[in-house]
Amino acid sequence: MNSISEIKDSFTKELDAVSDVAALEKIRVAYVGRNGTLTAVLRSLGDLPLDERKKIGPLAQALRKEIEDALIEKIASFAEQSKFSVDLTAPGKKISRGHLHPLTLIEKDFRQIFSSMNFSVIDGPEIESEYYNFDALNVAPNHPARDMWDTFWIKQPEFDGSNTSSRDEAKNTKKHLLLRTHTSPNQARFMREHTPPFQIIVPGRVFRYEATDAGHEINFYQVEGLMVGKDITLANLKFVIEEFFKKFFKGKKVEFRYRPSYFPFTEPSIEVDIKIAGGKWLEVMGAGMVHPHVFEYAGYNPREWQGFAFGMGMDRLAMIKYNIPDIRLFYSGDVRFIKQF
Amino acid sequence: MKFSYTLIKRLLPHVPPAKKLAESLNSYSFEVESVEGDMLDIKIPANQYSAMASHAGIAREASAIFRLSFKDFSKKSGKFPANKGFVKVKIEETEKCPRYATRVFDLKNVGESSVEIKKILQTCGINSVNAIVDLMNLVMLETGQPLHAFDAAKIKGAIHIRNAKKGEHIETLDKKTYALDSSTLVIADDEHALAIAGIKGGLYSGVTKDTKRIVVEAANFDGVSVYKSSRVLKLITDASLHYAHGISPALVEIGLDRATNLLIKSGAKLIDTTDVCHTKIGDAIIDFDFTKFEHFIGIAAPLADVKRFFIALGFSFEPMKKGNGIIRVRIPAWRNDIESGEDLYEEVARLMGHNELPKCPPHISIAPAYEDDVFILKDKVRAILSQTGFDEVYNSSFYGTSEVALASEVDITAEKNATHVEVENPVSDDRAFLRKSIVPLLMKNLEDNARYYDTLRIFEIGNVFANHKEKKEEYLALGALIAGKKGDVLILELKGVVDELLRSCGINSFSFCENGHSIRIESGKIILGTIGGKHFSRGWTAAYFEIDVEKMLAFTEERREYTPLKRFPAIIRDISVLLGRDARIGDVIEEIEEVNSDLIEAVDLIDEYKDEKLGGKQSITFRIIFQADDRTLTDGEANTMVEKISQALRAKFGAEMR
Repeated sequence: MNSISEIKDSFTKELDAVSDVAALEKIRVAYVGRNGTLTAVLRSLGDLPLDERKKIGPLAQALRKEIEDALIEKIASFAEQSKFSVDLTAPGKKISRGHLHPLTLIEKDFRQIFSSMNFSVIDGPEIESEYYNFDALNVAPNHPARDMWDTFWIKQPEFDGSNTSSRDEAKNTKKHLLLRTHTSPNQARFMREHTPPFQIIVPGRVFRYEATDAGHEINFYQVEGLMVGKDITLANLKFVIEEFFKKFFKGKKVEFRYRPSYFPFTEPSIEVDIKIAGGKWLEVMGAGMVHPHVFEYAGYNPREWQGFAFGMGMDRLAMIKYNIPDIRLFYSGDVRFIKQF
Repeated sequence: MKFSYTLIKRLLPHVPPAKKLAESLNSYSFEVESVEGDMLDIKIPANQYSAMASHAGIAREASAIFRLSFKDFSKKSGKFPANKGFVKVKIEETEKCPRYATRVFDLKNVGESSVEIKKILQTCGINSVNAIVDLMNLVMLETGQPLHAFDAAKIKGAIHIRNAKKGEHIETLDKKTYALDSSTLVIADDEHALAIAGIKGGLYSGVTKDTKRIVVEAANFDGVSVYKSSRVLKLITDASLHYAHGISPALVEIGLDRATNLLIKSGAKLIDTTDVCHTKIGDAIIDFDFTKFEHFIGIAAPLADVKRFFIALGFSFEPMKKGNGIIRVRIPAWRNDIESGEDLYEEVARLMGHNELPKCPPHISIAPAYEDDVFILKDKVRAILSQTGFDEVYNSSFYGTSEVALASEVDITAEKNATHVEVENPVSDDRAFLRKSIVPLLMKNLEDNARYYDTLRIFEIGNVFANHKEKKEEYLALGALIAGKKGDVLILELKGVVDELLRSCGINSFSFCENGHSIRIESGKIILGTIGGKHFSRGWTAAYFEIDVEKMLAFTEERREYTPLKRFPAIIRDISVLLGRDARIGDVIEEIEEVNSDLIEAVDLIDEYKDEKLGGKQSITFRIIFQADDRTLTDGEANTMVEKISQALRAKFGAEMR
């Protein structure tokens, strides 16, 4: 049997050599584990004569305490060693990732929310014919109603755009081209090729000939919505609109206000205002029941089908959601702006 | 359109205060844009000028909303003498002028209007001239029918409604002279034009303080014709606005009757009337179907409410036939915007209040929703590029001549014959063209951002436009740009990005082909896009690429297949070779791979070095990874292959091994 002092010496030696927690555990088991050397000594005390027991007992107990304390201390020293040698209050290193444009993020929100209500997402051209942009939407030619949309016309020698009166004479509105002033032409485009029931949204870039300022751009984004079936009602429109805005501004209280309005392609036509978290009323959407003439232009029987349509500005909703004061920022290409999103 | 609250109150004495009126019109009728003092600025819907662009129209709406009774003047009041032939009217253009009526009055004198009338006119943006002219304007404000008074003494012979003659001029009441063309309709006597029909009266025949007898005109002119003429002349007046929107010929009588009553009250004497009408004026009869209303709007309409609304709006109806749920409604002719059942449903729904309408989830077909392919591809492209550190920008679809030049310099559209699509009415010269390429404005973004960053990675995905021979085409393009001060190697970084991008989008076969100073991205014979580079001031270099996303879409395949992971270790050897400067690295790599395409797993370029000391040569280091699928390769095998590679490179490129 090892004497207490021998045990102590060898423990001290081994402990000094230890450099990791696993090795430390081995030592613990070797000395004070169930079959450890010191444990063996303590266990054998009962077999010793009383006077020896009295001599060795306290020494062995003291050593056990000493060993256990030493082990704890060593573990603590390991923790000390593994401490990072950097100033943890220094700022984190800048990680570079690319940022998506806020309007891309907004479009994703729109698509996600409407997809969840089983709306399909449809694409359409930016250069559009006068026919689809106006005629097929029941916007009469040479009527001031057409002035509700300030239009960019595409230069076409055959339509000699230099003066307005000759444009008026150009009969073929299917060939007369413009930059779409809204996403609504896709109502007629889609209906011509599909049979109801269906529900779609059409996000996309649109164009208006106007002076730019904080609230106006000559190109911006809209989302068109169209739902057609046998018994789609104005009350359904209200439901869909409110579901959309509640999800879009999730976590905030949204109130709604509906006002009568006028669009040649819907009837009744309504204007939707929202109030977010008790703020100001904001105009966000034009909507209504699809006008029977629009169904006729698309080749539907208006006695058979009915439905609703709506349109809203994505830029405007992005401005509201992200608190952006100037629409021109979206098209500035300023990377400092993009990196915020 | 400006309205006077005072005048509305004269027509509907119990109308609530202006603010309250505006609020309710907003909720139930149409938008009131502002209320300032006595003035309400109201946005009259473009199809409702006939009925609503008048103070009577507003009063009628208010009576429907507030349940007030409104006695409008559309009912005939009093008997007037028949045509005695004082005025002969000859309508030459009956399409453009379906109705022309006059009344002749002898006047006591022509004085000034009362202060109240002057104030009403002023609120509505009309200058006071004299009592007669003011009265004409007042009646237009009240009824929506433009009226004009001629000095009868100035009219020589008959009144002709004809197209202007070539070279004809007219001086209008405001002393401006207009040259007319034959598309413009005029009111003329036997000698010359007295007024531009539906737009403005002439100075010559205007009413002055000396006028003793007047011819009051109320006519109906074709909206399209007035709209066109007013655009050609660049002359928009209150009258032209009413006509251009298409007002009913029924208003002629309403306006004339009202004017007659007011003139007689002021002491004038009616001595003659004429009315030439080439159009049928009839009320519309439309069924209001309660079942259809509920099926369309989503709520039942109470019969009592519907009746009340119709009465207030000036409609009449027959009692409901037993049990069929339909009432037959007679719509007065001046309400020319009501043409179908849906129009009536709109009237009832709005007066019930759109806010009051319930909301109700639609029954939806379970046909699965889908997204057009471009949206999905755009998502993928955006995800990959943003993960590779690119920021997304949106630029204008328009640019100017400097970008047009850049577009041709960067040679994006491989089809060189394509030209830029131009805008007929650009907002400015630097926005006269539609973009044919994404890259020119990315380069502008670089210049704008250069002072804030020392590197830039941006991309844009959007539609571009080009004229191809006879056809205008529009396609979705992706452009990206890496810029920094590291020099020309950026283009290889970008090449790597394109490689990763195309593979991640499921395009499995494509190649990079050197094309002058740029790289063409091809798949089969189709050109997908271009990679190029450009030097900028202050040490900036940019590499860019542009890809035709729609062509890319055609090559996308969802073909992903697991290849077994290699089980046997690889042997890696680096070899350095000294090559002539004209040797192309792409060719060398190809040559190495051909030595043993089964066992050479990869050839990577790890170093290239050009130095004058090398005597016009370049030193290139490749890392070659040898690996077999079925065994552990031996060093001996690897050595043999390296030796074969050396031989091949010596033979083909005269390379020296280092």
